[in-house]
Amino acid sequence: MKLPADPDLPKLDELELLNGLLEHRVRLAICVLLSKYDAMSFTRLKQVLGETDGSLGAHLRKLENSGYLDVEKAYRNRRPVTWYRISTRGRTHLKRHLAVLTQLIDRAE
Amino acid sequence: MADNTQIKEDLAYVRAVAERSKGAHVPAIYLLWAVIGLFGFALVDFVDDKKWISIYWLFAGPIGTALSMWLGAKADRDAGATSRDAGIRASLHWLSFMVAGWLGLALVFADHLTWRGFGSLWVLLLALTYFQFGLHLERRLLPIGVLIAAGYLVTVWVPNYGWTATGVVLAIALVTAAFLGAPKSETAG
Repeated sequence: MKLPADPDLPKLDELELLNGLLEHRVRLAICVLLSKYDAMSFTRLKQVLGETDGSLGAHLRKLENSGYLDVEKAYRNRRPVTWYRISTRGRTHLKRHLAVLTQLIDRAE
Repeated sequence: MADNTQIKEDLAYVRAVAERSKGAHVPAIYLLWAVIGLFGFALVDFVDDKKWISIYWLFAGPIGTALSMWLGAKADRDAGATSRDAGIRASLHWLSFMVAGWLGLALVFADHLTWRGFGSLWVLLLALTYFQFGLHLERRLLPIGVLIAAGYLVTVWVPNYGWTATGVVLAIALVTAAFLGAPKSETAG
């Protein structure tokens, strides 16, 4: 049975377009930050996001395993630094996700 | 399922995070220009042969700019967030001031402006450049722009040591801005 359309609810196809990986606010924030900067270190991301090492590491691993981030390990002042960059794939998915979010909000207002 | 309230909250969180991620504040750049500005302005009052003023700025300007770019890039790497776009934007902003300043020379060569008038025009351009930089990129430069604008009026109407006074005020303002509200140093890792 088909339910009557509720104007306050987004259309199903728009919800389907939302990227599951970027639905988590921390992963979305990581991708937005990395689209703003060329590269960010793990420590800087931790400071800005206010996440614990474990939590941030898990989010970054998910994004890295999905090909959204490029990771580079380096040394600075004899200390190890892990740099993160958003990949072309990550940038494309972020753009698409943000466009769908904007559509959803526009529809609601 | 994502609802609109949740989406709005998430976007507000992302916006707050992006605002927290501001680029590194580099006191060394402020101190560098406090010294360069102080000597450069005082030269106008203390050196008889005005060609030394041009020679000073011919070298101090580009060397100071190059040092500032290096210090900024180093501070960004130390803080763990690098942005080539932000660096280019800041460099183009200050480059536009230098280009406008050099183009102002045409007024002198065409006898529309005296060398002294050109100096004051240069200070006015500097005030505008600081103010615009403060408005769009680094808020702490906004009041310095206003102070330099006041200094411009001093260079126009105060015949004795007006330039030195402007240089001293600029230097004090830059040193104050260097340390006021400076965040603790952050290290990449």
